[in-house]
Amino acid sequence: MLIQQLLNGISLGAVYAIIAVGFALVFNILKFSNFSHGGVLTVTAYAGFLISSKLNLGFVPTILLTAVAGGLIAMGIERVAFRRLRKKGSPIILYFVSSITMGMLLENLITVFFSSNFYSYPKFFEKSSFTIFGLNMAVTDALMLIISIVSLTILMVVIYKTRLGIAIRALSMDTNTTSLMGINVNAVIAATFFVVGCLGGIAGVFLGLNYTLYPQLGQLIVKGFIASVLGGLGNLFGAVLGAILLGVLEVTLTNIPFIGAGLSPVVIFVIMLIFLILRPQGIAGKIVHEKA
Amino acid sequence: MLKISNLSASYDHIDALHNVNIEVAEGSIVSIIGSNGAGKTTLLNTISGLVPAKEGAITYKGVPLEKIAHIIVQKGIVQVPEGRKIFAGLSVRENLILGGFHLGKHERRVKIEEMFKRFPRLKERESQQAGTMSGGEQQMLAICRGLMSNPKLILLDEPSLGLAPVLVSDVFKQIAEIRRMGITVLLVEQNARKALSMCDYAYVLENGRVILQGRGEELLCNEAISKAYLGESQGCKEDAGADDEGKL
Repeated sequence: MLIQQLLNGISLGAVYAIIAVGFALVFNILKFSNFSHGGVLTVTAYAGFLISSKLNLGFVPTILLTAVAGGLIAMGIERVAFRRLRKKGSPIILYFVSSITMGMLLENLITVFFSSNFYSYPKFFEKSSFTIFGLNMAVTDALMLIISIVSLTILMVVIYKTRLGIAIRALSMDTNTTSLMGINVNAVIAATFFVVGCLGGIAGVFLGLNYTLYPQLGQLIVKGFIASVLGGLGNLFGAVLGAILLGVLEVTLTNIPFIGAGLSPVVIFVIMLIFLILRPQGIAGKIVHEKA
Repeated sequence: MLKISNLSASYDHIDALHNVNIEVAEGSIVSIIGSNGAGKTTLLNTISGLVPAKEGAITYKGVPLEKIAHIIVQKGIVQVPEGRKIFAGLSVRENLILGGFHLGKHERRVKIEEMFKRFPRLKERESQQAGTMSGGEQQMLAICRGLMSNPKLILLDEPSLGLAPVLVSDVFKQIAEIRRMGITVLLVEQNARKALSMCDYAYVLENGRVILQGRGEELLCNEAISKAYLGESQGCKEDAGADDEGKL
C-alpha cells in the first residue's frame, strides 16, 4: 500500500518535474517567475488533442509534434512579451506582469475558440492499467514516468555537455559578460525558450490525458511553481526533487482521511510557507559561492 | 586602427562621456588613465556595444563599427571587463570555451591547448570551478578567455585591480606579451605609473572629457599628472619595475 502510494506520487511528481524544470530554466536566465508557461501548457494540451484526434496520430508522434509546437509558442511569447523589456532594461516586475498577461491571454484565446466545454483525448491504449510486482499502475502514469525521465536526461545533457548549455549557464550568471564573449544573447534566450516550450508541450499532453481539457488547465503551473520553490528557485536538480516531493506529498495527503483531496492544497501551501521561512533557498540551495 | 571621434554617451541617465576623441594605432598599447567615475569603463563599454553612443562615431579599420556586442567580438575587438567577471560557477575549460564561442570546434580546441601552454596553472585547474581560484589565477583566466576569440584589439579594464603587487607585475608582463603577439591593446588603468611607463600613447580622462594626451613617458614627466595621479615629485625617475605606490 505504502509502496503503491509512493509509486503514484512519483508518477505525478514526474509531470510536475517537467513543468517545474521549464519554470526554473527561465527563472535561471531572466530571474523572474514565468507564469506564461501556464498558457503554454493550456495551448499545447489542446494542440495535442487536435493533433491526435484530427490527424489520427498515435501517442509518440503526438507527444513529439506537440513538444515542437510548444517550443515555437514559447519562442513567440519571448519575442512578444519579453524581448522588448530586455532591450529597454525594464525592471523584473514588468517581466512578471507581462508573463501573467500572456498566460491569461492564451487561456482566454482557448476559451474563445473552444468554449469552456470539456474535451477528452482519444483513447491511445487498449488497456488502461497493468500490474507489475503486485503494484497497480496506469499506463499513462508509466509513460509519464518514462518520458519525464528521458526528457529530463536529454535536458541535462544539453545543459551540462553542449556549447548551448554552457552559454545558457553563463547567461544565468551574467548577461553582459556573456555578450562580451561574442555570444548572441538573443539567440541563446530564444533557444532556451524553445527548450522550455518543448517541456511545456510534453507536460501539456500529459495534463490533458490526466485531467481532460479545459481552458484553465494551465493553472496547474502553480504546481510547477511550488515545486521549484521547494527545490530552490532556478535550480534544475532542486526543481526535480521538489516536484517529486510535491507529487508524493499530494498523493499521501489525499489518502489521509481528515485531509483528503479537499484540504490537501491547503496543507501543501502551508508546507510551502514553512519551507520559505525555514529554508528560503530551497532543498538544493546555492552551492557555489563566488570568491572575492 | 580604432578611431573614436566626438563620442558622447550616458550611462544610467548620467552623462559619462563628452566629446571624446581617441585614436588607437595598430600594434600599439594605448592607455586611458583617470580616477574613479571618470568614464573609463563607460568608454570601453561603448566600444564593446554594451552602452549606446549618444553622439559621435567609432570607426574600426576605417569603417564604422557595428553596434551589436557579439558582432563586435566577432570583428576582432574583445573586452576583458573590470573585476574579471569570470563565470564563477563554470569550470575553467567552460570559461575558455565561452571565450572562443564563435570559433569552429577544432580551432577552439587548438586555442584552448595554446592557452594551457601559456598558463600551465589553468591546465591544472581545467575542470575546477573558476570561482574557487585565487584572484591572480582568475585574472589570468579572464585574459585567456579574451584571447580565445582571436582578437585584433583587446580592451583591458583595470586588469591589476585588487591584485597583490607581485601579481600586478605579472599582469603587466602579460600585457607586454600580448602586444608581442601582434594584438593592439587599449588599457584602462588606475595604476597610472605602470600604465604610462609601458604604453605608447595615453589619454587622461576626467569627468568624461579627455583633459590631456601624449606619449606615455611625456605624461610621466608632466607635473600636473605627477601631482594628481602619481604622487608628487618622483614621476619621471620611476621605472617600469616600480611597485604600485602610484595607485590612487
